[in-house]
Amino acid sequence: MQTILVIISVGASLFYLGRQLYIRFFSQKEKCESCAVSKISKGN
Amino acid sequence: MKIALLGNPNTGKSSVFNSLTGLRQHVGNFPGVTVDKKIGEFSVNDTKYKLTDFPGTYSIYPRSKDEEVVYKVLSTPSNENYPDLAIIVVDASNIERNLLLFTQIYDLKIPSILVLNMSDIASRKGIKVDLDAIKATFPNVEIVETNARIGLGIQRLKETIHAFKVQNNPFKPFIEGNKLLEISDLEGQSCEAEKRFSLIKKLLEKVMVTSDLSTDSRSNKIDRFLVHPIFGYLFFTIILFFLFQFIYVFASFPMDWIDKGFGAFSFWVGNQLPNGLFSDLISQGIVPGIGGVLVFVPQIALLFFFLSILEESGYLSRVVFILDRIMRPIGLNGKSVVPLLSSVACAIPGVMAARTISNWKERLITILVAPLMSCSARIPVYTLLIALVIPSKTIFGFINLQGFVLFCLYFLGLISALVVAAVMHLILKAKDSSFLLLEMPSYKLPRLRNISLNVLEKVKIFIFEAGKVILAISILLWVLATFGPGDRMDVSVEKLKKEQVFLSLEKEDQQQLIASEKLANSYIGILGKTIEPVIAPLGYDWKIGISLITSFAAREVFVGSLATIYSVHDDGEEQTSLINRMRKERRDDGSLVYSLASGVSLMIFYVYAMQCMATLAVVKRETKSWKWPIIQMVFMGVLAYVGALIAYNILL
Repeated sequence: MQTILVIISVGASLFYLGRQLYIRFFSQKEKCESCAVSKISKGN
Repeated sequence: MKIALLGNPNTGKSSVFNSLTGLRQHVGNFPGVTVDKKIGEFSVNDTKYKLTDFPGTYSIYPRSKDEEVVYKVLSTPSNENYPDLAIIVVDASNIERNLLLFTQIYDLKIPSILVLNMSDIASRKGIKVDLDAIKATFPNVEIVETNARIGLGIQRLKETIHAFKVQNNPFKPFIEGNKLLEISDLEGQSCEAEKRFSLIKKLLEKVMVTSDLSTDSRSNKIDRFLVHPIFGYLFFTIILFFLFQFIYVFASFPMDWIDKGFGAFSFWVGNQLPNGLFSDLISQGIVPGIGGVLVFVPQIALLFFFLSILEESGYLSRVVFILDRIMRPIGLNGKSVVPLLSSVACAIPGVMAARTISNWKERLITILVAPLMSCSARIPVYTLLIALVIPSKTIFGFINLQGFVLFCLYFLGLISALVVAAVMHLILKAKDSSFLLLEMPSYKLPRLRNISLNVLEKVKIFIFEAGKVILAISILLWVLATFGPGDRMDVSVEKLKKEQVFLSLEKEDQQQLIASEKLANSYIGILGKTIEPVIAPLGYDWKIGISLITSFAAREVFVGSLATIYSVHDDGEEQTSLINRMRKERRDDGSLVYSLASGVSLMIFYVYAMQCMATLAVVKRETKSWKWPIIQMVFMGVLAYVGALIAYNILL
């Protein structure tokens, strides 16, 4: 049971770091929801 | 109904926004604080209104990236953000300049409410405005007087918004036959602005009464000293000196409490939980990981507390003003001061604040050098290394040597940023240069509410953004340090146990040696040994190398990584244990790993190295290219390596 919980924790950590890396560097979506400059400019 | 909140910088626009919506937004005084769009909602008699806070701008003609937003939205009725109603906030104590933007928006035929904010300061300056006379000039506009900092007039503003109806009066333009949006050249725009200013001046002669009080305000008297060519710099230096002294002294107490608290908690958790892998992960990985985040909260909170006081009082605008003349010869100007000052807390808002710089070259240089300013994430690294290799003694009878080294590291970062900026100024070519247009806000007594909200917001960001990354890395590092490929760890331990030297040791030392052997054969140990030849010339061993790699995510991870790698057992004094363990650490030849040479070399490395993924991501986003973050990482990496190499070889 303890081993499974460790695997879940490691998986969650890897997923979180990978997702952060993707969002920050590769995602086309703007990271910051309140970011006006990019968001509004994009709307035009 | 979509409502746009518009106005010049430093008119109290953000205060109006906070008062109307109740949303928490930073209220600032220095130029360009409202870079991001803020959206809020409020309701009057069950009717909901959506309010958008736009970047502060002096006219609708854009001079920087964030001002472009205002132009794009207001010039395009089909834009999804085009407002049904514009609330234009003007500083009642500086009405002439503020009316330029208002009259432009008025001439765009956007239904408007004119908010005369800072009415208290206007009164103190002896300025009285005849509202009826203004209304006669702009018949379709409603006018409300407010003092948003204390919420005065906000209810009336809400009622005015609720009752607002587009008037059917024939439109009476401020400038006849104006073609505001068709003027694209700078000269034409200047002409248009001049024409408006001359009409505004005539209008104010009719509607504004100024008593003698305005000739020499309290702010002007203070400014004679604070922006003085000599005393201004002296005062700023003293302020900075005390700021860092306070942070250094006051943060240490709560940091110790948090550190000891988490050490004890980790120990307690370890005893309470049943034996097992996950229990070890919680007590040795997760709890110390969370503690590793929270221990820096006092420093972050104090830093922003003092910066907020300076900002709220109006002093930071004076700093921008006096530093403008220092920045010019190296290709920057006062507008770069705000991003650089922000970078002392964190380079991310610093890089984003560079949006207010209209000239691309100046903006790029500011973005590239901002991470050289020593950010708050470096404080734990510096503090640990200073405590490790710099003796705690007094020099010249009154200067604390450790504190002096910390000051030197900050100073080195600042000087390096200026030197690199000067070099880039020579390399990068640009046709024109921008100038600083700065409006000095009146001095105000800092409001505790605004300061508290700002500090809370920053601390929240630190805990929940940086904290999650640190926690995730702590978990991964713990796993990588606990396991190794196949049975390699067991085989090496068995081999060790048969050695004569091992058998002659005390039991406690044997356990220590077994732990070291396991670590050396874990995944992290193997990786560390692989990179060791690259970092050995700097005086580092493989354990430091691993911490350098993990701290690429964030600099503060360095301390946590070392704590994990050295297998420090939580005994309620984790920090002391780590330092003691590091002090005893020796190489195979018996020499100390953390000598003065290697310690200073590490400090120099952290002054220069671009150890922050989040900053690189923001630089990539802001420059819309991979080129600049890569260039930044490479040049900072080279500076770090060469600087550390030189320091190590000189002090060896």
